[in-house]
Amino acid sequence: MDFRYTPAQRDLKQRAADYVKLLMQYEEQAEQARGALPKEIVRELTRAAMDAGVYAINMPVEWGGPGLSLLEQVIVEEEFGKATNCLWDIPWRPSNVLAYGTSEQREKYLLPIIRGEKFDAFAVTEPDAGSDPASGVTVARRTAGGWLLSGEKWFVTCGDIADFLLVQADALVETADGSGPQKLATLFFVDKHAPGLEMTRVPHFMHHAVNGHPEFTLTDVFVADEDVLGEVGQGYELTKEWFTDERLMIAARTVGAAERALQEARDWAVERQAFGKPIAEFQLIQAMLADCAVDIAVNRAYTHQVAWEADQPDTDRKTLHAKASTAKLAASEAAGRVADRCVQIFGGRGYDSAYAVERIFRELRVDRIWEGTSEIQRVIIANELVKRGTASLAVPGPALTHPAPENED
Amino acid sequence: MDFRLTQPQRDLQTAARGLADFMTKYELACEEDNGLPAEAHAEVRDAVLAAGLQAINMPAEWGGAGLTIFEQAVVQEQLGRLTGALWDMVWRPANALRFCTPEQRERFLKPVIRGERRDCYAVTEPNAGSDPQNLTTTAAKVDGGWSLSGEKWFVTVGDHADFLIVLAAAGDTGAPTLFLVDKATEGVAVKRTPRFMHTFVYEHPEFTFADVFVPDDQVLGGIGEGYDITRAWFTEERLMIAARTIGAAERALELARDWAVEREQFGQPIANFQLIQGMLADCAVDIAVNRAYFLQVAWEISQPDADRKTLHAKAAIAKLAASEASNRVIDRCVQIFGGRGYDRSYPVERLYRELRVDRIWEGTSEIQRLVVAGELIKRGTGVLRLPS
Repeated sequence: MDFRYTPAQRDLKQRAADYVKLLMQYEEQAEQARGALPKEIVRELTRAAMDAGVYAINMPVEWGGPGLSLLEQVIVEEEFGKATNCLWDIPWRPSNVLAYGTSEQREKYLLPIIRGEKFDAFAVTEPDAGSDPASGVTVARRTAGGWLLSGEKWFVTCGDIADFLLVQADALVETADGSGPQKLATLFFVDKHAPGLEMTRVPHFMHHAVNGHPEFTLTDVFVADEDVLGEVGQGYELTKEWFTDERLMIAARTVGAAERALQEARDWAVERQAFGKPIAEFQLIQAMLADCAVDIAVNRAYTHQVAWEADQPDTDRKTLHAKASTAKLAASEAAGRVADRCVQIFGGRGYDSAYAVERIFRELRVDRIWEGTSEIQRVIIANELVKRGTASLAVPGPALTHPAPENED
Repeated sequence: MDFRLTQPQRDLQTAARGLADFMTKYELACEEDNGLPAEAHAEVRDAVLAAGLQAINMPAEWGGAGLTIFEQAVVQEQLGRLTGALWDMVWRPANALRFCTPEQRERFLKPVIRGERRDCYAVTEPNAGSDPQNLTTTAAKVDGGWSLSGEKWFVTVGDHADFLIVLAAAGDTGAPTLFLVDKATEGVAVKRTPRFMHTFVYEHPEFTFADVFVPDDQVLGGIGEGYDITRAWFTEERLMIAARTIGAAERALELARDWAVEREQFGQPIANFQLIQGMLADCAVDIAVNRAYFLQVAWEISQPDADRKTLHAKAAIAKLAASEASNRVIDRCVQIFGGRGYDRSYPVERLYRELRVDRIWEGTSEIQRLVVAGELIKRGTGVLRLPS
């Protein structure tokens, strides 16, 4: 084992941290505007992210991204997570499944995103489908040269600024035996200007994020055959892969956010005086600080472990899905506890949105909900335990290149 | 970074697991008889020596297994699966004995390493424990040695030990000092052997010392060195508690998972019910994140350039986090077992009682919080950084 960052990883972390300091200068402006920042500022911050090598970090170098491993992405996202108002959304993270596009799709959709010219958004959740995507009612009916999509999508994160949506819908495919159409979950590229696509509502949420999570309706929206991502019927598989990565990144960002909250609460406790001394001298404050340290330290170690495992070619993917759920559940719940204590340490100022801890408290709440609620993560983990026992808890073993002991039965 | 165990580390883990599995056959007898007969102790001793896991914290040149702290943690995690604290039969001499003079080493340490004698550590007092500055056990200078008087509590393995390492305030200045005291010395008496919540294979008796003469050559590590040596012991011991409690928690989850899959209610395995699934998943979380962290800290301590002050706080984080987490785990596992979880013949029942003390000994959870908060206040949140 080796728990050290390499010099290159340490430099990467520093670059990400420096970039996040720049983002932090715009937190208050974003907060006062209920999240959104002027386009020119976003463009400036986009360029800065590209210069720092932290834009589209999950995309390979050959397509113009920095080509970071998942471990490296976790290192960067942990720093990103320290910025409030979801400003970490500015150094755009294209949906990883866009990498499965054809070369034409890549030219048309992905490369402009990596260049910062276009933006994508993932549309999965529906009024009656989300964690249970099998009950989706958005359907794609066959038509000449393509598909007609109809339905409704909720919580389309960044859907307000996106140029196109990746819409998960059930492709209705006639079966040979005439038993009625088969429903095959499929991902479709849908241009924001496509006739029949309408942004119906941009809800105000608890947090004030730089980008919104609007709702869309689709009414016979035509999508050409060449705008199907992957195969017809490959939708769940791709969505699941997207979830694994995103859950890991949520774990990383929430650990980063929790660390910032603790840093601020620690400084506050050392400086703020009550009863003639700094409140840091009171044991009830000390215990809250210590419990925050516990929540951060153990989750940081585990998130890095799972990201490292995800990067190994011989890692079992099924177990990894459960491990990403473990990391997401553990870190998001822990960060929620940390933020709660830090607000408490700040007292009334912790309730004041000019202070980062107040914003972090509101913002971290959604990390226990999105990309699968804590309850969904628990179901995934329990299924892994029930199906395959506790093996997913073991730390990884020696490399497979090591000769196996002889006569091992 | 590399999160894999190496092949030798995996082999060591397998050996420790093998020893733990062998020793499980003594668990029920220990519970029912409050201890084990001499022949069981002899069998375990032979098994420990055969596994090469004797005195894992002592160098090979003295007869120990000579493991790094990291390797020790790997071993302790597996031994922590055992109930009845049978892991304590796999002897690890107090690290303080490293400070023995060559003569003391021959007489006190080496027989312990060989499994022929046992040591025990007497620190806590009626009004001193986490706060050792209030020591009332004194050592008065007398001709050729020292005269010890006082009372010590919670002397783990005190019943089985041949000698005690006693922390006392020496001389007029009250310099904290460790003394090697043979149990048979005149004036050493067991005052009381309390019955605790757990059924530990050894006892934790209380001792009184009435003008106990200790010759000069049985001062351990020098006059006034008692705190520093004891503190170093706490750092490592806290990490080993983190390792053992995670091993225990994992065994409990394995058992609770199997129980949930097999036990049927309302016509289906209880594992089908989401309220059971939620408990199983929360156990997995508690184990996974704490395993990653105690291994991280054990790895850091094993590096030559490790910063000792920060590591003291990190060991406190590991101990606090893992002992509290394992208590949550075992509580849920008892719940999943239902009435059988309350039955002493089931390991989850025993682990429930046994893990409770891990939030108390080697510094309560509250003391760990003070250690961690002290580090945060003095030096900021750098203690949370990963090494680079």
